[in-house]
Amino acid sequence: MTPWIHLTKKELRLGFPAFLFSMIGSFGVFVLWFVLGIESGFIWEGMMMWSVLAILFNFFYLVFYMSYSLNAERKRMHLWLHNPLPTYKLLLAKFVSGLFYMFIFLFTIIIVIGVSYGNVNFSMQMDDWKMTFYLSVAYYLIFIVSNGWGFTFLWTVYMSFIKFIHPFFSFVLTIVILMFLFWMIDLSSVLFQWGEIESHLITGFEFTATEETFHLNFGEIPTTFYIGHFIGALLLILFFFIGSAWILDRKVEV
Amino acid sequence: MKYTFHSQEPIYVQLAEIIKRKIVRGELEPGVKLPSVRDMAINAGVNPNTVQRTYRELEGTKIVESKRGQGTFVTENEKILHEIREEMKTKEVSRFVRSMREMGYSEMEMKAGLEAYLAKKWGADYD
Amino acid sequence: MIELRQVTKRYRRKIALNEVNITLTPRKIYGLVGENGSGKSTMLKLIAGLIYPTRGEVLVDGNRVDRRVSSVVSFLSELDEYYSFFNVEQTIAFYHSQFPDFDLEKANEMVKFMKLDRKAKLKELSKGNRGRLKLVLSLSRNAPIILMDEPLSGLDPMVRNSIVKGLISFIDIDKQLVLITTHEIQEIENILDEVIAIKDGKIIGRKVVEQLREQENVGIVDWLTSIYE
Repeated sequence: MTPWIHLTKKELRLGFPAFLFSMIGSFGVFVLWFVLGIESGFIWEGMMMWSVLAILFNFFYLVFYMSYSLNAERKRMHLWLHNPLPTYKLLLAKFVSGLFYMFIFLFTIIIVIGVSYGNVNFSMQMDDWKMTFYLSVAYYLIFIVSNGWGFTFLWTVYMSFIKFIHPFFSFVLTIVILMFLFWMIDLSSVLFQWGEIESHLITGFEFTATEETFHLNFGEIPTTFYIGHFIGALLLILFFFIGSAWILDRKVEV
Repeated sequence: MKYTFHSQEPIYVQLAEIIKRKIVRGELEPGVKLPSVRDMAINAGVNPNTVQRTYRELEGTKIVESKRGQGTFVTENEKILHEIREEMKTKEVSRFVRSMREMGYSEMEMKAGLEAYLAKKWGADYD
Repeated sequence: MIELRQVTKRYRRKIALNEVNITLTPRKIYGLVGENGSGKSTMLKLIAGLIYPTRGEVLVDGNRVDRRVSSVVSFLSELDEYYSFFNVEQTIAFYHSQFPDFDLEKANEMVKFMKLDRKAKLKELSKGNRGRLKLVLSLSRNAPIILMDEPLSGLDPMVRNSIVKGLISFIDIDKQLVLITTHEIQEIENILDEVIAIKDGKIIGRKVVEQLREQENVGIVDWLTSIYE
């Protein structure tokens, strides 16, 4: 266990520039939004908008992080892979360090939302909002994680190709595999359309700006969750995880 | 002392020769402990396996003896030391003689030449 | 013990190793010599489990090699790449944390011997000192097999000298097998037990160095010159 913890510490240092970049980048956008907000008188609304953008970016946080961290190793694969730990643990160390940074990033977003929420005339009418909220958060996190592992998987696929074929064709081939994966996921989603959770949904959505009332009503948005989808996503993550460790172990060369 | 080796002869032979000369010269006195294999290897800049072989060869000529767990020591046996001294002398002289013969000098010429050389050089820059 | 059986390694365009058969036994220092691109690094990486043979098999202690052979093999790459955010001390601490057989005391002794600044960042070290540190990292492991890819390459004579000295001082020859690749033979001529010559992916000769001197009255350099022609 200890070697792995030390390895994770190393990963935290290796990945720190990626984290710093995400923080500085989002802070820059935040400042920009803030200035624009002051000028137009919609400071809090601007902050809310920023939060939404940040949450969207965060979908790909692990993709961004893993791509930084894995590519940093590319020059020194002989150091990274010359390690008695099993490969899945090497990958897990990167993933956990990324997750750690992702949560810090997410936390800053939550703070901004918390600060601005009370200052914005914004309300949602939802039945049973708690259930919807928790399920959304869970789905959101699973989605981020599967994105991260999906990227890692494709990276190892790409790395295993370049030993045999030209990097450009390796890239094209990897994209083809990505398309194939999308197609497979799409195809198999029917299989996981079970275990409906009737969560009554957003019934109304109201957003009021200061000067004039701005009213949006979407009526009913059917937010139905399927347990099957969760299971499917978890299986997909497992597939990416095991797959990338397997490829890295047997097909990727230094 | 800096160790230099040439590549036409095994290093263990060359190293044994160096150590023998040190003993004959009295630089390594009877009963003195030789450096450990590792230290010798480091000083001479050679493989420890080579030093091990050198010590084994020296042991074979009885000029050194290894005491279990303590190391390798120069023998205190006067007779053996004397024999080695003589042997080294004979070896060096025979080399000289062979070389002179090859060039066609007679024994008389060799003797005369050696005596003249020693007489002339004595006390000067004799090395 | 290391065994290569009928090993061929093919890359995109070229064959790096061609049907190589070789067995290396413990308690010896082997020199693998050959020109750049002759297949030296490929052979080392195969033994380290960092690449796989196209055909044939690589065995260490009778087991087929994969990446995790790193628990018994200490591999020193020829590349000048490190985790540059670490300083000397942190690098050593990291290796110590990753390899159960890493001897911290030995590492500290070596750092002193090599006169390395413990607090210096790796990117601030001179090339020579990075070469020295690499030696510290690979020799501080009590691993039965030590592989060194061009430990002297591109370094000035002073550094080479200290690396060779360090090598003799810190190898545990009673337990370890050391395989060194180099194209600069002179520096390590006196520390090799055996020399293996490689050319265009083929082993073209192998000699016990002392026997070579004893029976043929030639050193490694002369022998290499004779077989390369």
